[in-house]
Amino acid sequence: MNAAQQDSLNDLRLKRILQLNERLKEELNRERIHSSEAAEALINYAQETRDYAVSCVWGPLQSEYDPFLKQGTSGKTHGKLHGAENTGCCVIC
Amino acid sequence: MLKTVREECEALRTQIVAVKSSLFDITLPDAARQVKPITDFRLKQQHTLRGHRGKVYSCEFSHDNKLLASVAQDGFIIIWDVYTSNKVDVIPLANSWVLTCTYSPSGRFVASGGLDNACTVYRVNTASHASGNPRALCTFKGHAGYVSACKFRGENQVITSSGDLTCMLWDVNSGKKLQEFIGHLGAINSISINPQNSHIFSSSSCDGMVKLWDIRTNNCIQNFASHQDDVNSVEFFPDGNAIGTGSDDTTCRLFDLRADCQLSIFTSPNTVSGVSSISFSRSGRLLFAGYENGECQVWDVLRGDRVSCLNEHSSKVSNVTVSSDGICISTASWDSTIKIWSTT
Repeated sequence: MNAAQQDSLNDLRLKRILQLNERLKEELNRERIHSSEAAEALINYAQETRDYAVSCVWGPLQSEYDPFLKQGTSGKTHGKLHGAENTGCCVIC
Repeated sequence: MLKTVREECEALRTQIVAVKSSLFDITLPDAARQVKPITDFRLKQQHTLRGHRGKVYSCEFSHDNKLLASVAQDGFIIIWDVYTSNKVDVIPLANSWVLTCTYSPSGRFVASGGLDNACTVYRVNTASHASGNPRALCTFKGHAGYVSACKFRGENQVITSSGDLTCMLWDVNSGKKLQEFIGHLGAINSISINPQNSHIFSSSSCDGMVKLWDIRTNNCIQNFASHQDDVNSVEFFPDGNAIGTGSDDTTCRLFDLRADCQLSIFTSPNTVSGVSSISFSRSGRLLFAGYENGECQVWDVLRGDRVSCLNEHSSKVSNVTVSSDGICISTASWDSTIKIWSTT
């Protein structure tokens, strides 16, 4: 590699590191909140949003809103219930 | 000069680490100690959808949650009635080596992509098909590697991710590429559009990174680099302020965008299989994770506990999806079946 090629390579390296530094400065100046604040917001959202998959909080889906019951197909194919593993409450209905 | 800027680079990295650690004062499970654990968790297996003659790679609920589109390596997209398990439509694909499919918001189109390095949009409307219109509406060609994931952004745009290390934004009407997102150092496996802000999407990659992209500026705006192996799946938390990930390192993780850090990790000593797909329940309280060994584990996102394990597939669970109303969960598998679970 001759001197001109070496200079050109160094210029390219310099340009890339300068670009990287600009990105790192942006990242450093990013507005951040404490993880405790973020965790609290996620906890509030998860607890305040209706979710029938969490029946211990929101109760079971009422039968009039059950789309499978409306079609008359609920559990027709298999009808297995999977329960929480710590209670071992799987049943075949 | 080169030495000076390198030193400045190192100093900046050190400062970023210092700022992040000063703001990291608690993990999510520690913050949620007072939250009651989930008890009496139950899912009913409503249907086993049989019809594909190959590994099912992907499925997605329509936006009204009544239909499910699935794609398998038998070369077909099948549209299923979720509640009756009937097949509503079958779309033969030009290329059978498909990896992904997605529904448009109106339900009129599905898009799929795979090893032909292209993403094709198909009409779902059967009346239109009967009238002689071709099924394929347009094909996006431009990736130099397989298309691993695709998502509609509104009705007129599609975002794709690829093994060529890039994501691309496409226009459905013209079939042309609008933007390209370059930055990953490994094949990209999964993408997710922020449910609260469609200008932002995330991508996960074999380089172990998860990146956030802003379509308005065409730039990567945030990186998360905690995983030790390929990150196979990424999905936004329902409020759009965090993202969940699943990886070959056998863990799922939760990263908060505002705190710019990892808030939680979901794994157990018994978990030895890689995570292929994840999906949040409607509130984000539960994380459903499909594993290479055929299990679908259910995690309490707040407390970090494992709540349940659905173990009904005989091969890898390639895709887990929760319907937007939160009532149905689908698990698609390489055993060529899809199972529909309900909270009722």
